[in-house]
Amino acid sequence: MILAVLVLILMGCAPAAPLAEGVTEEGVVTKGEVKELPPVRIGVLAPLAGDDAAYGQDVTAAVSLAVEQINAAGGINGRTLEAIFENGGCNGKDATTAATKLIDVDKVPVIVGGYCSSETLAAAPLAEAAQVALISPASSNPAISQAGDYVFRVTPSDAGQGVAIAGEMIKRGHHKAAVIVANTDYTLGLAKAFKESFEKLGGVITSWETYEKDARDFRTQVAKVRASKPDAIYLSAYPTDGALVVKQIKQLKMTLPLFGGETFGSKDVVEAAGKDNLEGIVYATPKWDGTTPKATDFLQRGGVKRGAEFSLPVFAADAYDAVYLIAEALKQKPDQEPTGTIVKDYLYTVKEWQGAGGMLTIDQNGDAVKEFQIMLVHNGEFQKAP
Amino acid sequence: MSLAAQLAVNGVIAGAILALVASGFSLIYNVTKMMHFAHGAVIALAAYFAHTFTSMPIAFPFALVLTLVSTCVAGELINRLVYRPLRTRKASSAVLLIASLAAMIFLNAAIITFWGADIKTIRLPYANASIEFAGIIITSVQLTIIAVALVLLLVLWWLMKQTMIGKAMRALADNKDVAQTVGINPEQLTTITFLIGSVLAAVAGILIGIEENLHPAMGTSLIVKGFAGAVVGGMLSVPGAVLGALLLGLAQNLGIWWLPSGYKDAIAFALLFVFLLFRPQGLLGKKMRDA
Amino acid sequence: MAFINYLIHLAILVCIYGMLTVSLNLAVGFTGLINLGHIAFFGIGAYTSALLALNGYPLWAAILGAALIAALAGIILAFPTTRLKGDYLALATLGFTFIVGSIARNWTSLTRGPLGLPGIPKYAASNQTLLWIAAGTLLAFSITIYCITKTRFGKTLQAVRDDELAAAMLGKNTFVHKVAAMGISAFFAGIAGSFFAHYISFIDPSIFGLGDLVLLLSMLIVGGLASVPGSFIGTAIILLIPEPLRFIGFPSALIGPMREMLFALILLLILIYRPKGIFGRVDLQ
Repeated sequence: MILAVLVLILMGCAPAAPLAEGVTEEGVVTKGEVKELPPVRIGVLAPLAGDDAAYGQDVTAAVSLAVEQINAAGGINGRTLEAIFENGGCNGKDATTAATKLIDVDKVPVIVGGYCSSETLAAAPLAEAAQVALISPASSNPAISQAGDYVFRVTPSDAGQGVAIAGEMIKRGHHKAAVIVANTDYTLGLAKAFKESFEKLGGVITSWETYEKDARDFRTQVAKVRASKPDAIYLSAYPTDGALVVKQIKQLKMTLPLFGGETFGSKDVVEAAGKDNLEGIVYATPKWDGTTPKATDFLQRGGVKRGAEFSLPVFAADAYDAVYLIAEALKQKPDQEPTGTIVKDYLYTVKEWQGAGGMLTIDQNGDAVKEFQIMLVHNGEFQKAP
Repeated sequence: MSLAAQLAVNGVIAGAILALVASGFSLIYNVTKMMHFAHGAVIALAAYFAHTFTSMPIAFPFALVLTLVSTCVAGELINRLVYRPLRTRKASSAVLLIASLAAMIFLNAAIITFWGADIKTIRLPYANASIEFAGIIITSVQLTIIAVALVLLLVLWWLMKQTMIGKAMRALADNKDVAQTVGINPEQLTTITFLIGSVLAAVAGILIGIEENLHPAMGTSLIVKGFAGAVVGGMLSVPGAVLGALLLGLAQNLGIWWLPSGYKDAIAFALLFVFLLFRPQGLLGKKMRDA
Repeated sequence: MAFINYLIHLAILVCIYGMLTVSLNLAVGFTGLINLGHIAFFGIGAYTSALLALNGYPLWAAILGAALIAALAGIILAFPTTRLKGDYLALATLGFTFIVGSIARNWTSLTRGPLGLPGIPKYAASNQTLLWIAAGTLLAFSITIYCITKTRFGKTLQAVRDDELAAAMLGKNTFVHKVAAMGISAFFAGIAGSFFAHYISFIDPSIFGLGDLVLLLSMLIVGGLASVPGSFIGTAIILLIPEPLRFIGFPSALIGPMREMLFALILLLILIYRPKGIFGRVDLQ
């Protein structure tokens, strides 16, 4: 039966044993003393399949790159670093199963993840109970701040970004803004923070248009925005929809200045929206200056690893940083077995740590504190806004 | 510039996009009585084929033809490998539905495996101009979509009512056993139906891909709305599906003039629900005979 | 951190989804109502229970509330839809699921929309205890539903499934029977939803999506319609197939999609080789 044959072929595509990260594709162990000690294994929890697979691929590439580099430099205390990837599916149930498997079967001391807030919130109680450190590179739900001592974020809260963009808008003389926002926790968080700051600074929100994450047709929302006569538009979106919103705004011949979040700092979005359409859009990102050596290096090598541009580069950089932070933490205690507690204790001491994703400080809730900077897209390239 | 007029045009555009989806789905349902939810995934596959072929250094029309052919092959493969074995085993329509959903999951994952999960686009060899008239703005691609949807409406109506194949299809749908006695070969006709359906999927995939860019799971939301349009228009009428989709698009876009934009999807489903309650045969359908 | 915890987790999920499948079987397998809105009852139960618990009500009140509100939803849905036939009933109930999902996403003052409800308290401190509770509940459901099908009420339901016209002619009020079937199955689904919410400790509107619906339908069909043990087996099979796939080493960039493809293929193979399901005794046309 053809289907049965297909199943066998698929299974055959997999190598006989899990390819340990830190071993290159040719099977040659990279440079570094690999002693008799067993490898250090960390878990990775991200949406590896489904609608959000693109971000899972971001995380996979970023983590794999970090692991490779760390192993090439001698590993952690002479032991190879290995990453085990599990699919959180961007939902609580799958994340719980994945986290349980990582904690109870693979017995990892630390997990990089979840990506979606639902994954992080579902995995948090498990990590907390097992004293496994959980480090999310991308989750933005405010509830995560109280999710546990072992729960961390290396991505900053939305409030900072909202303040930055609101301030920039007012600075440029726009006092009436319309908001177009996707109905998800990440984008709503950003938009709400923006609205609060903007209104505090004396601005007026002329309209607030939402859409479901899988929508692709925003013409009516855009038309309503136009009818509300704003000075500028704030967009809080994911790459796929964000690109289309911009495209459709331009199709409706609107020339209002556009502002957005870190989504727009992505080559994918430039490609999908069209270079000309995205010209001049102003956005805020954590101060990660894509031009620092560490960041450029990460982008370049990471892009090679991923085989394409990162969908949301800033979170990929955060995942990369998370691995390096873990390595640093464990290197502090070379004669102890890696545990989540070692990582946890170290993370609370992180102050002004320069990562590929920007300068990072971790506060008492395990949240990241980062400065923001304003960028703009010019000619398809990203530059600091004047 | 009149907001209402623009919203109405937006509604027609949205409805036309859904009509492209609903037409193939409805055709297959009408002949095989099967809810081929995987149709959405076939549309997505067509869009990805189009992306690959148009990225090659070949003439644009030729790339489109290749897309059409590949999609037909894919569509018929699903019919042969998944549905036919189930049909020969006399599987119930519930089982066929699950199989269709399983095929959809498989195709979505296959798209990620072969093309990656990033946004992709289909590059047009010419510019997509915005045209403005009477205070309404529309692009050339959107006009094409509307035109194609209307042509489909006419062609499908003609196909089902006036051609031999259409008559054979309706005969098969009405009563499979009797149809066989008058010499209609059900498997052959089913294949033809899937091929036509795949052509419709290819057209949908290309146009939607150009207009909305590509995303591995794009098929899922398309088929959910598309089938709602088909139901509203009448599950038992293929041109009805097109009409229903247009109506749905209009209702959604005009509806959020008053309602908050977040309810756009809810409007579609509410309309679906209301029609099922008060006019289950849809706009153009005939009342379903009691089994 | 022990391997057994992983197995316990899977067992709990099997019990929770088992409750859902068994209750769905009452409506679909025994009464012939192709109810694609069952996931909505599950989600409504989950949200009701979570909201009550998070607002200070005791756990027993949360569970009861979940069951009753879900049952109410079942009855409400049943009223207009039970006079629809086959495919149309399926579509209407599917539309119901999507509508409820849309409400969950937009009625933010109640549900917090996409932010979801975090921090839902657990039933029991240890998962092992929870497993006993869940398994016990599943057993109770299964026995209850099995007994229902043996009563006159239950036999009438099956008569409605097999030949509604005949049942009506024999003087049975088929409408009341169908509404009752939906209501009862929704009641159980609500309890399953409550278990789910208090186990995963976080829920958001994605619970009303196609993902879980496809899983649920697969569990039902693979196990077989009108078979209570079948529902349990079907649930176990569908939930457990993906697990061994975790131990096959795919290249990391492709783990997710390749596992999904394998899962879909295995499901298709099961459907093709046993289209009635493993224990199924009826087909629905």
